[in-house]
Amino acid sequence: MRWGALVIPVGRNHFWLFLAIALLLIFVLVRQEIRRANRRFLAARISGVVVAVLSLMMMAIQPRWLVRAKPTEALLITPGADSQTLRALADSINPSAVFSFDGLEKWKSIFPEAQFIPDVAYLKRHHPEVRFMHVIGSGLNDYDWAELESLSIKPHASPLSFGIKWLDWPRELVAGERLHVSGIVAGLSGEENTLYLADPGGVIDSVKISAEGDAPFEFSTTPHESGRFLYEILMRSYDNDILFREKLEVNVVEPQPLRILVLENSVSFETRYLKNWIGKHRGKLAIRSAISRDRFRFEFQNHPQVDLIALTADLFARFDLVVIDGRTLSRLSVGERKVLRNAVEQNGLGVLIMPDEVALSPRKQKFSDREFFLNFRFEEFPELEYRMIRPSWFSLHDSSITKIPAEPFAIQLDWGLKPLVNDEMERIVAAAYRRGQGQVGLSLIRDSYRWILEGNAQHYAAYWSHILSELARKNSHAERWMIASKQPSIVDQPVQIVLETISTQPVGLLTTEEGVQDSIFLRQDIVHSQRWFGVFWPKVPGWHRVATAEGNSFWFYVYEKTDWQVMQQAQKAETTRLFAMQNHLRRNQDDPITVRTPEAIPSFFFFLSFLICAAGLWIERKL
Amino acid sequence: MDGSEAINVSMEHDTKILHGMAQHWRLMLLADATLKSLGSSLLLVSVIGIFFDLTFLFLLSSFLAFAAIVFLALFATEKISSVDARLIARHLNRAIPELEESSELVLKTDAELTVLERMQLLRVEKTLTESGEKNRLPNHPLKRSSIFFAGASITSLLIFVVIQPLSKGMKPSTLSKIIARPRDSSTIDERREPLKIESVKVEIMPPEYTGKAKYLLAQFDLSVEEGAQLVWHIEPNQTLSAGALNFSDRDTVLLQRQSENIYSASKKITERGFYSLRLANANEEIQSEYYEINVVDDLPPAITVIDPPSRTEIAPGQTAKVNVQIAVEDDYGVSVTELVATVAQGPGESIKFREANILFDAIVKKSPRRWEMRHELDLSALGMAPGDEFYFHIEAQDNRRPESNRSRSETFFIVLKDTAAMPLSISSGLAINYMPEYFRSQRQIIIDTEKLLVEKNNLSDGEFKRRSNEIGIDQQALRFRYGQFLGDEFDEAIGGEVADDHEGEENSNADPTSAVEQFTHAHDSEENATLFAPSIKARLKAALNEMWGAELRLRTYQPKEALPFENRALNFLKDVQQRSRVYVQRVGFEPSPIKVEEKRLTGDLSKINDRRASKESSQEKSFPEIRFALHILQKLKMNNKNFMIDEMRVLENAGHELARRAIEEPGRYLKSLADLRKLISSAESAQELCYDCLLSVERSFWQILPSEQAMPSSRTEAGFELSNRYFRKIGSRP
Repeated sequence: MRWGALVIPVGRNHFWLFLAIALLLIFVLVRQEIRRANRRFLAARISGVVVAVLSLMMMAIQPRWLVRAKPTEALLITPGADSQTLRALADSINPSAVFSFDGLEKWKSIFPEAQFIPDVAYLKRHHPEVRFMHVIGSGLNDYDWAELESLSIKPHASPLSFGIKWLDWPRELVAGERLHVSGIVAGLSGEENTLYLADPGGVIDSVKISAEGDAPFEFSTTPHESGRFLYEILMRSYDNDILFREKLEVNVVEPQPLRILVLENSVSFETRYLKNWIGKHRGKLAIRSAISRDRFRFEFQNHPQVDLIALTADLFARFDLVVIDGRTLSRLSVGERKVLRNAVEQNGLGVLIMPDEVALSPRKQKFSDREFFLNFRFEEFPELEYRMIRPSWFSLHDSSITKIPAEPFAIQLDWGLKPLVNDEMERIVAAAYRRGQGQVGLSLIRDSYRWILEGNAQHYAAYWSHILSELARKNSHAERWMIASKQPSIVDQPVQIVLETISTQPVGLLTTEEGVQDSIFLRQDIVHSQRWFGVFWPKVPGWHRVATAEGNSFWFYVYEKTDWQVMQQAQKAETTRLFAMQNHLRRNQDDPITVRTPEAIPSFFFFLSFLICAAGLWIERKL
Repeated sequence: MDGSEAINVSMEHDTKILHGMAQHWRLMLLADATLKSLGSSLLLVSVIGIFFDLTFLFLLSSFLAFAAIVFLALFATEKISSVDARLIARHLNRAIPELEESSELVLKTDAELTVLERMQLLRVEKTLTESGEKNRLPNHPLKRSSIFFAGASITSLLIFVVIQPLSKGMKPSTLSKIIARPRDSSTIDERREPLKIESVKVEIMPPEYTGKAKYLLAQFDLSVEEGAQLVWHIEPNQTLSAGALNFSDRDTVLLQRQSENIYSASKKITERGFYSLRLANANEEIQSEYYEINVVDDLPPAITVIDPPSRTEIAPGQTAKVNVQIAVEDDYGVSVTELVATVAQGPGESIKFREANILFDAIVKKSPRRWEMRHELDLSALGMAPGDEFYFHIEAQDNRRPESNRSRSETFFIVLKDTAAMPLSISSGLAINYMPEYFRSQRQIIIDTEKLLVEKNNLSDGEFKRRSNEIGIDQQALRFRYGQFLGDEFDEAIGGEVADDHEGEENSNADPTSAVEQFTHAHDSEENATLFAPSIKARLKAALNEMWGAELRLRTYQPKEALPFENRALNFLKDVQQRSRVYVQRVGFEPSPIKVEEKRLTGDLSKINDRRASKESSQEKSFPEIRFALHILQKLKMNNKNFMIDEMRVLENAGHELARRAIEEPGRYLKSLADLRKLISSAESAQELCYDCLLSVERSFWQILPSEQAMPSSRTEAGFELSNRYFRKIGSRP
C-alpha cells in the first residue's frame, strides 16, 4: 500500500485489520480515561493513549518512505562476454557496481568486486539505483529488457561464436513440396569447411564454405514421407571433424484434396491426364464434356454423381475450382454466368480458364460478364502456331524443367494482375486476377500432358500443383496456428503463438509428446478480431502440439537450451542493440526519470514515542 | 558337627535334585520350541512352494530363517531362561502337600537357616527323596509338540508329492525335480562358454562349364558363380543338437554332422540373396547375423564385327565377295558361332527371301574366352544377281549349362547394285490397289514371243504367222484393259479392225470388258480413270504406246522386233506397280450402312444419351509398412522407450519389405536388416534398445522410400472479416 511517499509493506487487508484492532484499543482506553472520576489532564491523557497505540501499530507494520535514489553507473556481464573486451572496458570506465549473469569465477581476476545476479528481477529489486549500464556479452532477451525499462544501456557486443546465426525454413510443408532451408553461418575463420544437410536417410546436400565472417547457405530437398522428422545441419572441418551439429524440425502434412469441376467443350487429352493425376492424389473431380448439342459426357472421380447440366450456386459451392474453356464459358446462359460470378466474388471459388480461340481473341467474346472472366490483355505472336517455353515460378526449385508448348500469346502485366508462371524471357504465361473473394486465372500452357509422355511426370505434378493450389478456394473456415518467430523455439524461452480463427473464445490446448497438457489463453488482436495471440513457455524439449478443442492442430519442436547457441546469442545481441537504441531515443524526449527507492523508517522512533506516552500515563497516576 | 555335616551333605544332594529338575525342564522346553518352530516353518514353506516357483536353495534358506524366527519368539515368550530351581521348588510345594510349602528351604545356605527352619528342612528332605520319580514334573509338553511336528512333516510331504505336481502338471517327483527345470540362458552358470562358431569353410564348386576348379573361402559373405554348388563346413565350439541355414528364398538347409564337431550343408546357388545360421545345443539357441550371397552372373557372349561395315554396296563388275571378320568374347567360353544370312532376291512384289546359316570356315585365333573368326562370303555362289540384297547377323552361344546364353549382333547389309533398275520416287496419292492380277499377261506375251522365236525354225510359215498374230491379239486385249483405266482415250481402231478380220476372236474382246467390270464400278470408271495421278497416267500411256508398238510388230509377223517394245511395256507397268506399292489398303471397322436420307441434317439427338462414368481411386502409397514403421522409429528416438506389441509387428512387416529390397541390393540393406532384427529381439527381451541399430534401420527405411511428388492442396487462409469486405468491394469493380 502506498500513500504518496509512504509505503506500507503489508497488504491492504492486513492493514485494515491492524487499524481496526488499534481503533478498538484506542476506543476502550479512551473511554476508560474519560470515565475516570479524576478528570485531571484529560486531553493529555487521551492524546497519550492514542499516540502510544498508534506507535505500537507502526512498530508492527513497519512503514517506509520513498526517497530519491542516487543514480549510479554499473557494468553487466552477460553470457558470451569475452575477457578481451572486458579488460579493455575495465581500463576505460569505472563502474560503481559490477553484476554478472555469467557466474563469477571467470571474471574474478578482472572485477573482484563483481556480484552474481540470478535474474533480472533480482537486479531490479536490489539495485534500483542503477540508471545506466554497460552491457558486455550477448546481452539479454527482450522479455528481460522489458522489465528493466527505466534503464539506459550501452551494449558492447562481443563477436559471435562459430555457428548458424540465422535460419529460414518452413515450419510446415505439404507433402510433395520442396523443403528449402537457407541461413547464415557466423564466426567463420576462412578455412574450408563443409556444411551438410542430413535427413533421416543420411546426408542429402552439402556446400563448401570458405568465407570469413558470415556466409549464407541454401539447401533444398523433397521429403520422402509425411510426418514429423528431425533433419540435421552439421559442419565438418577439412579434417572431417564435426564442428557443430544442429537439429532442424521438418513437419510434413498430408495435402488437403481439392474438389474440381471441369466444364469443357470437347473431350480433351489434357483433362484426361488431369483426371488421372488428381484422382491418384485423392482429389475429387467432376467433368462435363460437351459431345454434341445439349449432350454431355459426365465423369466423376472420387466424387458422388451429381447433376452437372444445371449450373447452380449449390453446385459451385461443392467445388473449390472450376476449370472451363472459353467456348464453354461463352455458351453458358447469362444466368449461369451470373451464378458463377457470384460464387467467385462472394464465396471465393477459383476459376481456371483453358485457352482456346474464344478465350484468346477478344473479338469473339460477345457475352455478358466478359470483363469479369476474360480481362486479360495479350501480346500476340501471329507468325507462330505455338511457342515452346520453359516455364518457371517462384516456388519451383527445379532447373531441369523441360520445354512445353504454349499458345502464341503472352499475358501483359496489368494493374491487379497476379503472374503465376513466366517463361524464360520473363513473359507471363499464366496469371490470375483477384475477383472479390476468389480468383480467375488463365494459363497459356497447352498439352502439359506431354511432360508425362516424356517421362517427366514430376514437372507435370509441379506445374499443376502450383496452378491449382494458387487458384483454388482458400480453406477459410478452418483455424490456422502459427508461430510468430521464424527462429527455432528453445526451452525456457517464450514462444509467441498466433491463432487465426473465426471462433469468438478460443482456448489453446498444448500437448507434449508425453501427453502432458497445458492450456494457452489467448489475447485478441485489436485490429483483426480473428487473430489471437498467446505466449507459451516450454518446459521440456521435444515435439509440441497446439490445438483448440476440436480444431486443426499444429506441431512445433522445442529445442534444448544448448541447441542453436549462436542463434540465441545473435538474437540477444540484436534485442539488446534495439533496446539501447529505443531507450536512447526516449531519453532525449523526456526528462530524466527520478528514481525513488523505499527506505524503512527506523522503528526506534515509534518505540520511543510509545515509551514516552506509556511512561507519562503511568507517572500521572502517581502524582 | 556330625549332624551339621550330615545336613550339609544331604543338603547338597537335594539342591542337586532341584537343579537337575530345572535343567531337565529347560531342555524339554527347548525341544518343544524347536519342534514347534520347525513344524510351523515346514508348513509355511511348503505352502509358499505351491504358489511360487522357487529354487530349492531359496526354499531351504527361507525355511531356516522362518524356523529361527519362530524359535526365538517362543524362547522369549516361554521364558525358558527364567526356569530355575526356585521355580521348581514352588512347583513342588504345590504338587506335593507333604512338603508343607517348605521346599525353598533346601536352596537356602546354612548361614541363613534358623533352627526351626533346619528342623523343617530335615523333614522336607526326607519327603523329597521319598516322593521319588512319580511327582517330578508337570505333564509333558513334548508330547503335543512332537505330534504337531509329525503332522506338519506329513502335510508338507503330501504337498510336495501330491498337490504340487497336480497343480503344475508335472511328473510326480521330489523337490529336486523342480530345481532341475531347464533355465533360460541368462541363468546358465558362468563357467559354461556360450555357443559360437569356431571356424567356417565354404567349399565352392563352380559349374563344370566354367572350367574353374573348386575353391575354399573362410568367410560368411560370399560372392560365387551362378549355379555354383556351395558346401558350408561349420565348426562350432560345442556339440550341436540342431542347426540350419536359412536362405532368403525361404529355403532352409539342415546342417548334417560330418565328423567330430564339423557340420556341413550344401546348396546350389542360382540367384543373389542372403542367409543366416541358426544353431542350437541343449542349452541355448543362437541365430547369426545375415550374410550376403552375391552371384556373379554368366554374361552372354559379346560379339564384335570387325569387318564389313554395317552397309556394303557392291557395284556391278566388282567381285561379289565379302570378307567377314568377327571376334566373340565370353566370360567362360564360346560354344557355337554362326552367321545367319538372309538373301532377298527379285524386285518389287516378286521379292523372295531365303535364309541360310553359315558356319565360319576359319578360326583365326582361339583362346577359351575369345574367338576370332573369318569367313569369305561368295555372293555369286549363293546365286545372287545384281539388285539382290544380302542381310546377315552373327549369333553366338556360350557354354553355359543347362541353357546357354545367346547373343546376336546387329544386322549388316550387303547390296549388289543394279544400275538397270529404275530409281523409284515416292509419289503421293492413292490408297487403292488398282493393279489387277492379270498384269502378268504382259510377261506371258513376252514368254510366248520368245517361245515363238525359238520354235521359228520348226514351224511352217503359216503357223508362225498365225501364232504371231494371236500374240498380237493378246497384246491388243491387254492394251484395251489398260485403256479402260485411262478413260478409253485409245479407241479400238487397230484392234477393232483386226477383230473384225478374225471373227472367232470376238469373245476375247468381250472378256476383257467384263473382267474390268469385276474390279470397277460401271458408273464411275471413267471418272476414276481421270483421277489418276498425272505421273501414273503418263507411265500408263507410255506403256500403252509400247504395247501398241508391240502389237503392230506382232501383227506384221515381226515378233523379234516386237520383243523390245513388249519388254519396255512390262517395265512401265512394273514401275506403276512399284509406285502403288507404297500404299497399304486400309482395313478396319466398317460400320453398318446408315440410312443417310433419313438421318442427315435432321438434328435429332433424342436417341443419344449422356454418358456417365464414375470412378473411385485412392492413392496407394508404396511401402506402407515401412512408412508406418518410420513413424514408430521417430517416436522411439524421441522418448527412448520400448515399443508396444503391435508396433513390433509393424516393424516385423516392414522388415519383410526391407528384406525384399535387400535381396536386390544386399550390399546396401543387409546390415540394416540385421540391425532391425537386433532391435526387435532387444525389444522382445526387454533389454535396452540398440540406438545405433535404430538409426541404421531408419536410414534404410528412408532411403527405400521414393521422393514425394508435388500434390495439389487447398490452402488455409483465415477469412478476416476486414479483408473479406475489402475484397468484396474491389471485386465489384473489375
